[in-house]
Amino acid sequence: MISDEDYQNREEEIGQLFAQEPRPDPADDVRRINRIVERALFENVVKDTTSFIFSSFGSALGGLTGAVIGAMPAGEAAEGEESAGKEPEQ
Amino acid sequence: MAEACDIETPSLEDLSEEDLIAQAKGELPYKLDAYREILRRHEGLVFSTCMKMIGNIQDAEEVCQDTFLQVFHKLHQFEGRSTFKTWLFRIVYNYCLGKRGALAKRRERDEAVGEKITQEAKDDRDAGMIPGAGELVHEVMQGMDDDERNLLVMRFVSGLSLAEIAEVLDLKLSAAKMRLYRTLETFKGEYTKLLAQQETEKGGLT
Repeated sequence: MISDEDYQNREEEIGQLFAQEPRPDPADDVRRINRIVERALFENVVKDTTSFIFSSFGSALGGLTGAVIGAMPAGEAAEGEESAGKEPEQ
Repeated sequence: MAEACDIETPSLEDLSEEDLIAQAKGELPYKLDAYREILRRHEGLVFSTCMKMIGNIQDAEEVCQDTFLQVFHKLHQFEGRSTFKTWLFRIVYNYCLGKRGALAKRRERDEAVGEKITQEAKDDRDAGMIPGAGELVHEVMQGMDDDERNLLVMRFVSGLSLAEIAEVLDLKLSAAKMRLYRTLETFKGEYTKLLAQQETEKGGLT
């Protein structure tokens, strides 16, 4: 079993060695932070655009179908209905 | 009435960690002021951790960015059952392990250029860091296995407490303490050996 004192002594000793380690240049922090913010904004736009496209896809498809049916000449549509009900001539 | 008007809202820098997280949750994803403050407080430490765990600037930056984008998208899921720092470093730790695994695979595949990659990593490390007196520490770390190195990085680079390390690694406190103590012993042994070796070499030269 490790005593708290042993543990703390060892930790302090090694901690002092790590304190001498080279540290990243703080001047670079701002550049990296700006890049993260830019990426976050970009991902947000992509996410919004994708969800807009998918949410409007259904209604756009419905509208398009309606427009196609509406654009058909009335006679053509009725003919189609009649011919569907007729028996084949012999 | 006049007194009520005098009450100033504290600036983001003055907010406690809990208040800052709550504000960021309310603001994201369309307002990024509090998120930027989270970055200001934690990004440096996360980047240092990634550098130590991965070893080259490009990949460390990528992992650091991915970590904070995960925070950006998932902060609303943080319930405050652990500290924000523990939650954050769990993400960092997992991303670093994933990236290191991918790098190891790539290295295996490109074994012929393996030496070149190692050299590039060393150059990156030198380029991104302010030179200091801790070169020996880095050398000892390179000789240790991944788990040992991660423990040392979490304790001395990320500045996590023993309890926080236990939480990140999903260990009991006593198990984390035992593991860290053994790692400290190994580190100390290797460091002493390397130091003696260097001094012998110096003595031989003079």
